[in-house]
Amino acid sequence: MTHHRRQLYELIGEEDAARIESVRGRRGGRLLQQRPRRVRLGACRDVVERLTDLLDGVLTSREQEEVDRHLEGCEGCTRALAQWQQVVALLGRLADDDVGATDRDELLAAYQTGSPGAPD
Amino acid sequence: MPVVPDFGDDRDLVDGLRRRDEAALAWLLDTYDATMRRLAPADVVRDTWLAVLDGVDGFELRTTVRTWVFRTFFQRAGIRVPRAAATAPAFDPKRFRRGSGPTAGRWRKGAGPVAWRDDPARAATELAALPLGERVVVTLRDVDGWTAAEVGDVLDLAEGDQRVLLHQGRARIRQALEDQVA
Repeated sequence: MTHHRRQLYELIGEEDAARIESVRGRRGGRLLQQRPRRVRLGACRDVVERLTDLLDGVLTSREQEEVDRHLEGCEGCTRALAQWQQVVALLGRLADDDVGATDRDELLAAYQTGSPGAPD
Repeated sequence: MPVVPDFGDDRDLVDGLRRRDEAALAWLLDTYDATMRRLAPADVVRDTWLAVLDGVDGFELRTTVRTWVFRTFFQRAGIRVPRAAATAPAFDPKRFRRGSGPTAGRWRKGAGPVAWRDDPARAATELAALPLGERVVVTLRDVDGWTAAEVGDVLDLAEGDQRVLLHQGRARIRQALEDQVA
């Protein structure tokens, strides 16, 4: 490992360093400067773009800490997160009746006629 | 009360389908038909079912039934989810402070998210209007509760691309619901 990379890894912490190493491994080691996107503490504009990552649990522990700290002091982003969850919950309760259904009798007929496994 | 057979176990389901058991077919349709109807025209969905029923005798359970059904479906529907293209911001950039000072990027006064009430009909309309890639991912993940791994597997879509599509789709639906009250 080069001196510079070692220095960089010390700076960004073990977890992000491991992520970079795994990406480098997959792509032939050309990606030193492709650090994971960071959440800039205080920038609501950036925090709201990470809400889906947050709900999916894919933030690094450092990012998670930064976002948690941000949310504690930010009413707007706390509401944005709640609305993200509200959208997910609402979609999960959508009824199926608005989309119509495939005609069962037609399928059943095709399914039961002339099939090798059909009961006699 | 009649006992409604449960075909939640793939082995039972496939055995039932091979016996041409009407209850197994009903279970399969109850479980997956609506999802496909959200994503493709009725005739494509019907053709998918015919192909699935035609193929069930040769299906070897190397994947879950759900994965097999939906791979068949996406192939027949000609749906290929593109890699996430240029990303649109979740909120209008005008809602955040500009400049480079310590408050840059924070919500402008009074520009934060506005409370809205759940409106399933509106959410369904907005879902149906999403660009295809977002509609597919949001339907599988949020309407049907698939895991990220299963969606990535069926669609052959990288996790990062999937999350971008999911995020943008949710953002558009949220914005539409907010626009209704604003």
